[in-house]
Amino acid sequence: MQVEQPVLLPAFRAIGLEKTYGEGPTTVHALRGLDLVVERGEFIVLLGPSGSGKSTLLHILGGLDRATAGQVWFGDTDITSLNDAGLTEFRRKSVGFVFQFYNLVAGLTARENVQLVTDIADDPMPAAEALAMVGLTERLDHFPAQLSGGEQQRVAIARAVAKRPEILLCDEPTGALDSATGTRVLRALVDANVKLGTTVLMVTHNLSVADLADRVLRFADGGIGHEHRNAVRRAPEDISW
Amino acid sequence: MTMRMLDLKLLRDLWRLRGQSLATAMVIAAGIALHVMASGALGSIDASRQAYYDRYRLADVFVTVKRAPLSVAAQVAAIPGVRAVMPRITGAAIVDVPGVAEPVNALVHSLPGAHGALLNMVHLVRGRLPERDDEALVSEAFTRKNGLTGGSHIFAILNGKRQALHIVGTALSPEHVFTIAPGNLVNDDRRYGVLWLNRTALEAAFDQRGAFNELLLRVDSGMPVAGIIAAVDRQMARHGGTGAYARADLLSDKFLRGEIDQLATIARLLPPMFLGVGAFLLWVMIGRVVESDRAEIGLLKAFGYRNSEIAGQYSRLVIAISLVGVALGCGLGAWLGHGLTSIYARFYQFPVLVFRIDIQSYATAVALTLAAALVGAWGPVRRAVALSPAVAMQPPAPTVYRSDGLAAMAQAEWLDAPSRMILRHLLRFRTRTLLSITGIALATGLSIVANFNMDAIGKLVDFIFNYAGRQDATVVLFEARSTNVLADLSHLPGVLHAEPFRSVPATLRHGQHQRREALTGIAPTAVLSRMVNDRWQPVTVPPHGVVLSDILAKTLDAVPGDQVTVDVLEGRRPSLSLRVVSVVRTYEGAPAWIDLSELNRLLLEPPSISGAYLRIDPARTDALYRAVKQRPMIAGISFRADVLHNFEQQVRDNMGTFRIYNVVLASIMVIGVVYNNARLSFSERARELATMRVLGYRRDEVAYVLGGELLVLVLASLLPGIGIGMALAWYVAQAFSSDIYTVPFFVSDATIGLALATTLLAALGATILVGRRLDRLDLVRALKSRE
Repeated sequence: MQVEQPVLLPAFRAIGLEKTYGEGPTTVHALRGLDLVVERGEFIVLLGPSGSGKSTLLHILGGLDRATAGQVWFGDTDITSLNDAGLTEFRRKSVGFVFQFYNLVAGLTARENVQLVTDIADDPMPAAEALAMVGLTERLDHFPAQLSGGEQQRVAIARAVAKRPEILLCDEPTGALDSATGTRVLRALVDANVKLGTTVLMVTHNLSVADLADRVLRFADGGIGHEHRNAVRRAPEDISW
Repeated sequence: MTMRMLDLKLLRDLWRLRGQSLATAMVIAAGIALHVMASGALGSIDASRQAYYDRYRLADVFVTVKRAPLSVAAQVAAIPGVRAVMPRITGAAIVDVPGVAEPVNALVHSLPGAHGALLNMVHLVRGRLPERDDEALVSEAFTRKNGLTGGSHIFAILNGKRQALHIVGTALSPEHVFTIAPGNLVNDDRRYGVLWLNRTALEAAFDQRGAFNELLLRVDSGMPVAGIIAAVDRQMARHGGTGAYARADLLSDKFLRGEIDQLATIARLLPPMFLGVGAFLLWVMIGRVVESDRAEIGLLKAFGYRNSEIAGQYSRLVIAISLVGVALGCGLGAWLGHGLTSIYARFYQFPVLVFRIDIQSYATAVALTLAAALVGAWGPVRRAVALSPAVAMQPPAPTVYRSDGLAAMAQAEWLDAPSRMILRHLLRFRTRTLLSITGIALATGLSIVANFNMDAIGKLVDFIFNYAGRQDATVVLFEARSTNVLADLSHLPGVLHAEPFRSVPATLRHGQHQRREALTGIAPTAVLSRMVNDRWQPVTVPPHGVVLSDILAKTLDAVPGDQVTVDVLEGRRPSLSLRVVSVVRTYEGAPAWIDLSELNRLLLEPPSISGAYLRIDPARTDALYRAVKQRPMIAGISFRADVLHNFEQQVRDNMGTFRIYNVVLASIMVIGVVYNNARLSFSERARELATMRVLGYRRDEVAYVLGGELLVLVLASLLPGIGIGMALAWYVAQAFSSDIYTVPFFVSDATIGLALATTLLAALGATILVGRRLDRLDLVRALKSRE
């Protein structure tokens, strides 16, 4: 299976992507024929009301969910054609995830949570280095229950970037955090994008966060309603929310 | 209205938790089934026994004499406390059954009614009572096994006189509920039966005209039997009394009570084990339900539901699961009880034996289960009640882990992250881990004790037939005869070698302790029937003094070097003081041995023997059978091959079924514990496992976290399981041993291997059941919702 990304191809190409849930009169159309190209190294923010399809897109791009119709190409690989094992390999090698509720393993320390990923990665950075990137050098051996929400989320980001993924997918990473903590978390994401060249797609409800991005996609009713490019990306510290 | 909402929630919870509820209910059901089966069978047998003994007036005291005039019976009747006496004639006989080559042994009684009161009445199954002296009643099972019918003819050799008998009916008797030849461990209704003849028929045969050789007594209720036995012995000494004994020493009753005791042991031992594990499973399950219901409990409390209503909700859940267990258990127990009783009916001959459970057994079952269930639910329900509405509605903080103390084990550098997850989880919930290990270990122990029966019997058979008793046949004479008879026995066709023995009834005393036993004289050169020591090595009979079996030594509290008093109850009835030379191993009865010529010398009698152990040529057995039937002096003969074959067949027919039941029950326990652990672990970790899948862990790598934890539990339980199994086997060996036989404490490697395999297989099955859920893990949903 080929998941290496050729130099010239974009990170993702989605063509006519559809996703429906349920059947008959209760059918929900989460995505309606969506087309999208994501360039390598791009930082994209996905905005939109609940149910507009942004999270569904993120899940399909990340290989967590399957499209009902259409195709998604990751480099020259059609990930919509991959079976379960193929999707697992795709996630394992190429994708980092950051979740709204951190999803740390309670029984593992910060360092061990990062090791959970570096153990199975091809060319990971040391766990301590990943945690240093998010400013948690002092908290390596703390369990999740001993960390604040923001710290837990930064561990999650360290865990996501430690394997040097090509793609970082973030679903409301600051949704459960206050502003100051949120800023530190966003800093970590921007660093990953800028310093490591990781392509970032971030779902958020927070309009002001959109200023961080290269490109902002506004979702409405299962498709991209509006799209614009920021001429200048602002730093997380310059955003107020 | 409010109740309906909670009722609905209860039903939904039950449905949602159906797998775990069923697994838990099955464990409870297994415990209840054992209780209902054992206490029901025990009650049925005990009630049938009591009713049978009362209705057919079984004697309270028995005494065998050589010959006493009938007038002596009246003197015994005058002993204070004696309500009724019945003299009768009893003797051994060899029976020649047409179509059966080998000689068959029988016990012959004169029918009640001729003299004295009506005691030990027979229950006529078919036909009629004998009217003429050539007519006989025969024990029902004996006729059935030998294909005899009313009207058949048999020949009985009564005290050396061959007599044709016409079978006019079949019968049962309360003194022969278990019909077994003395010295045997299992009954053989084909080769041992009971005949009842008119008194006049036996008077001539046994030389008892106007006399009796056995006296039966009924005593006033509440009267201590021991005093009466002493008085009877005094009166009977001069008539050759061999010592009166109480009903409790009647062989049939001993076996029956042994069976009842065994059932009582099962009823005492096993149900609490299962109910304890059931309580643990409920504790774990309800604990998890309360944890995941936090928000709902908070909501209910915020709405104004009372603590009692919250407690009631979860208690009802527990009670519902328990009652399913009780219902299944009672049904299963009744079914098993019927099966068990029908097996008993094959061995124990009652006029009626039906499995009946009294309402009290069921009530106890319900009470025990509810008690166990509420013990299990107590902690979680209290936690639910203690939740404050505000706290309950906030999501729970991540489980607090620590890395000090024991938990530091998980810090080891070489562990990978999934292995750390396993170890930390197990160490975090130590009580649960410990109880899970205990539960699985109990199940392993149960498997061991289930198969231990076979080991013990194997050992018993090996000892009795290959070490101690290596003779092919044992011949018993009607009465002690001159040693010249040995030559005659040696010349019987097919006999290769004959070893004499002399057996006399005696009371052995040491200090406060005493016991009636046979004292057996054997030759120092004996190689067929031997004494065997603790290490199973043959021991030669010493020229002087007595050798005691370990059981007898224990009963008498005697050790080598002690002097014991032996009151011989035969012939000149000398009272001997003998030094205990050594103590040897025995699993059958509690015999004592002495040198044959020393015994004859001490008895002040010319050298004589009461029988011989034979080695025979298997090719000539038919000739030997024919010859034995023609030898009037022979009262009985038993063949090792027959006894062994019968023994093994009975074990195969009966124990095999029990073994399967026990393995099934043990598996239920393992599956219950492992399955519920796996479900719990899965529910607690669904989010973490889904996260791992999202992070790129493969299915098998995620399964390792779940399966690895269970594997650690199962592996950790194996050694304690073997320990528990050994302890249970030891306890059962003690509890099942009686003065008729000793159950050897021996557990084979195969039994341990089988038990471990059963546990591992059951655990694997339970893991696979839960593991299938990993395939259905909804990654997106598991990540979206917060707990």
